[in-house]
Amino acid sequence: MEQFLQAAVIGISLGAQYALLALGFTLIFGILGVVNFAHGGFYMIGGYVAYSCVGLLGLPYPLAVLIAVAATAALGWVFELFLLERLIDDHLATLMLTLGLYLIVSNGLLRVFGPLSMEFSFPVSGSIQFGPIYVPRENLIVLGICLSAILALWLVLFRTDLGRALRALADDRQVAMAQGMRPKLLFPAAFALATGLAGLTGALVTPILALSPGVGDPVLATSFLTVILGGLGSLGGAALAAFIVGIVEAYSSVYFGGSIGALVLFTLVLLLLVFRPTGLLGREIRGA
Amino acid sequence: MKTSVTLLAAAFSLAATVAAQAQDCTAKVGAMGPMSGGAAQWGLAMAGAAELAAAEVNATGGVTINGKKCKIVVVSYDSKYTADGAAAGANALASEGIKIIIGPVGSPEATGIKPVAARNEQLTWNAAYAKNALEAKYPLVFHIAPGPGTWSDAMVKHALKHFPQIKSVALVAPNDQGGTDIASVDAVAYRNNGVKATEEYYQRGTTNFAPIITRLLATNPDAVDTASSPPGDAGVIVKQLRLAGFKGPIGRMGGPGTEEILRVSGGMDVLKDFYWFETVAVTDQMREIDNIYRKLLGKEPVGGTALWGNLPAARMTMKAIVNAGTVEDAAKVAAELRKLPVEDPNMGKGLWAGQKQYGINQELFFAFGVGIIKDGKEVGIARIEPTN
Amino acid sequence: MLLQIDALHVRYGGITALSGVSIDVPEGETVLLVGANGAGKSSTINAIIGLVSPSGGRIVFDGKDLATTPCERRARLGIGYSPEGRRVFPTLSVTDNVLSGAFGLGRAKQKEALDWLRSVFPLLVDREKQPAGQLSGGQQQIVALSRAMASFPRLLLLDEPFLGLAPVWIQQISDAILQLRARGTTVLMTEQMARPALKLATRGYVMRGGEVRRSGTVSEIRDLALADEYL
Repeated sequence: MEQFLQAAVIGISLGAQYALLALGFTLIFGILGVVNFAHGGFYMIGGYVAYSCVGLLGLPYPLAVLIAVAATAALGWVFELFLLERLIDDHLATLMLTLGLYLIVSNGLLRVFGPLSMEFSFPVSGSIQFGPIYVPRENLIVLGICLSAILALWLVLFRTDLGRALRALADDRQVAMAQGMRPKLLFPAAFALATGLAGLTGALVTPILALSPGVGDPVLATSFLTVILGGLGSLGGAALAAFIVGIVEAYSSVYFGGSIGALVLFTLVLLLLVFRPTGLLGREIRGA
Repeated sequence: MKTSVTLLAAAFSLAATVAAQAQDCTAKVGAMGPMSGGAAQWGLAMAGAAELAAAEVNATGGVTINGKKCKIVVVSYDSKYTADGAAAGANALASEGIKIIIGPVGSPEATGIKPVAARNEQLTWNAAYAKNALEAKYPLVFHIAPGPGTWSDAMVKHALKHFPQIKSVALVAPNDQGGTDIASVDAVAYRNNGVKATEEYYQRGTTNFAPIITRLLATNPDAVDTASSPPGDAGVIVKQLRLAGFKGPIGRMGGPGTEEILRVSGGMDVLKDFYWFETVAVTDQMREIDNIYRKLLGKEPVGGTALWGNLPAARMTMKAIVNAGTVEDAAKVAAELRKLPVEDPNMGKGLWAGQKQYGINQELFFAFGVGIIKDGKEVGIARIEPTN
Repeated sequence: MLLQIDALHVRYGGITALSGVSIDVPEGETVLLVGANGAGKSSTINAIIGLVSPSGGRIVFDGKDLATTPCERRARLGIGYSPEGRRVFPTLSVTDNVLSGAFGLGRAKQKEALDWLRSVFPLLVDREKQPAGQLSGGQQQIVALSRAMASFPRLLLLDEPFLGLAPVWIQQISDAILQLRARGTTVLMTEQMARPALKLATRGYVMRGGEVRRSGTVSEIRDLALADEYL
């Protein structure tokens, strides 16, 4: 029984983290039509910026996280505005650009910080015990922040002019432009929003796990899987799928071990796509 | 008068020719390993050891080949820690006529290079922990340092002395050859010493080990051993084990990386009770190597204890080359190599080993170290002498 | 003259959609472009809003040559746009669709627009939270028109607003257009079936094959349209 509950706790934590990453990834895909191969790179930059602020500049951790978000958002903005924007409708070109950016980022981090893991810990330590279940305090805090960020993102997308404009651009870019929404201003904003989320996740999660120039690789794979499971371009789908992926990953690893666990997740996604190719909440648009 | 001038002129030109010939004669030896990427330290340490050993021989005039004094030159190749990298390297070096290679480093490289080097009739060394690092059918392959098959038993005994409460252990390692070859051998050593052992393997690339830890703690082990998990992973495993309430000792019967583990896990207070394998039991004589390096090569050494660990293999190879009088006949050099006693002016005395584990006695076994941290304090690194 | 189109040429690849179209839209009037499918009505509207680049000619809005103004800035100049085929934002709610037409105008103006549009089109209240993609054709047209009107534009471009609609919708839309006209909005609309549109228009142009064939006051156009069977 305790394994069951422990797995649930782990799964929900994972789900919240994956949700932040998947939401950013699907925002970029839905609004810009770009598959962001550099998503893991922004995650790592978030981690390394926060590490640098704490370890090298001696700043308090919460401030370091905010700086990491600002830095990754700014970098995303600049990258979109000056590089992606020119080739935004050429899907192959944008794929190459984001892939190239990822290679530059991971090799750059390797060169600057070296291949070994950094000393970077969460400022709060220890676990809370609920009977036989252990919940590390850092996990609870990160879970809380992730859920708050998801809520904040929802508010921005569904309760502000900016959010409405982004969703309109995702639905029909031409008509949105004709209503006065400017892609040249809004696309960098959307990209920055997504990369800022990735940076936030990196700044929060790398001190819990480890920080080295390789930790960005699985981020892309998980984001991709989650977004496809949830339905490309669907925000609700991405969030839902993220929690499903986190929980399935936790349970299958706990009960089947590390190798079979990964297999279970991919098999489930494969089966789901066979019966429902558009993903869980993939769009079914009524052409009227 | 004219005759003496002519004689003098002839003598000078003869001397000049001889001197010129000594400078022209170079004997090429190869060095191989990952020199870029995450494992770059290890490859650079291999090349560094080869260069130092070569410089030492050249300082005494070089190696005599066919009556000529030749300078030994080391040619490096970056095999990138992959099987195809090492195989390509063997061919690339062979095309330059190089038959003696110090390197490569890791398991995938060893696997890749063995058949190709055999075809090219090249002598190679490797530092892999794989179960087939040496094979009887590849007599030109030598092993720089022993894998767990050789030292795990002695290490378990030493760990049990400090942590006698260990009656069961859970091993955690990646699920590829780099993990299974070591963890499975460790498990045997534990069992041979009366400790129950279970093995838990994870997908390489996993970043969050909480589910795996939940799983292995369900068997209630007294200790958890991270085997050959990369240090970054091991650090997270340690951190998450302690957060899950695990209070037992943690072991590492695998490769180097204690510093990184300390960094990632949060320090000695978190590690609490820890025992780990040190490839080299450091002495002052070993530290001298760095000074010798600086003096002979005029630059800072790279690779730390890894370079020291590779040095006996490099030096013994140079000695074998000198004794054989050739760099082109690998079989002849190998024969001379086998005759040499295992000893090094800085690293001390060792043994030829490997017959039991691999069926061929071509492994250099020097004293190794077992580090102990108890109650969050460093107890020290015990020196374990090589035994057969 | 609020809008002046001079000798407009539009080509799609090798096909000429408009050749030498000239149209005047005086301020405050309701101008109707009548023609069959392929006559060039939509191409004209799309050129004005900037979704299509002309290969020749000029479009002057309020004295400003639009050639240097990209599509997304033309709405800011006061041009509202309801496309052919509705093209609502399918995943956005009805309310969000309407508000997207008032992008950047501020909460106060957006509330004013929403209140007024809801008074004219009860549908916007009944279905306010529903994703627009789930509505019927007629309902979507109401949403698309509301979106175009939400900024109280100076010039309202309506591409086939009455196509396939039941009389009750046509009545609501006509009322809304009249109310906007009373506030000073100029309307340029296109239709294939002209009868309900002719009730609103003050002048018209008949188009065929990418050219303007006839122009005149609405009564002149009505007789011609009858003759050419556009009614």
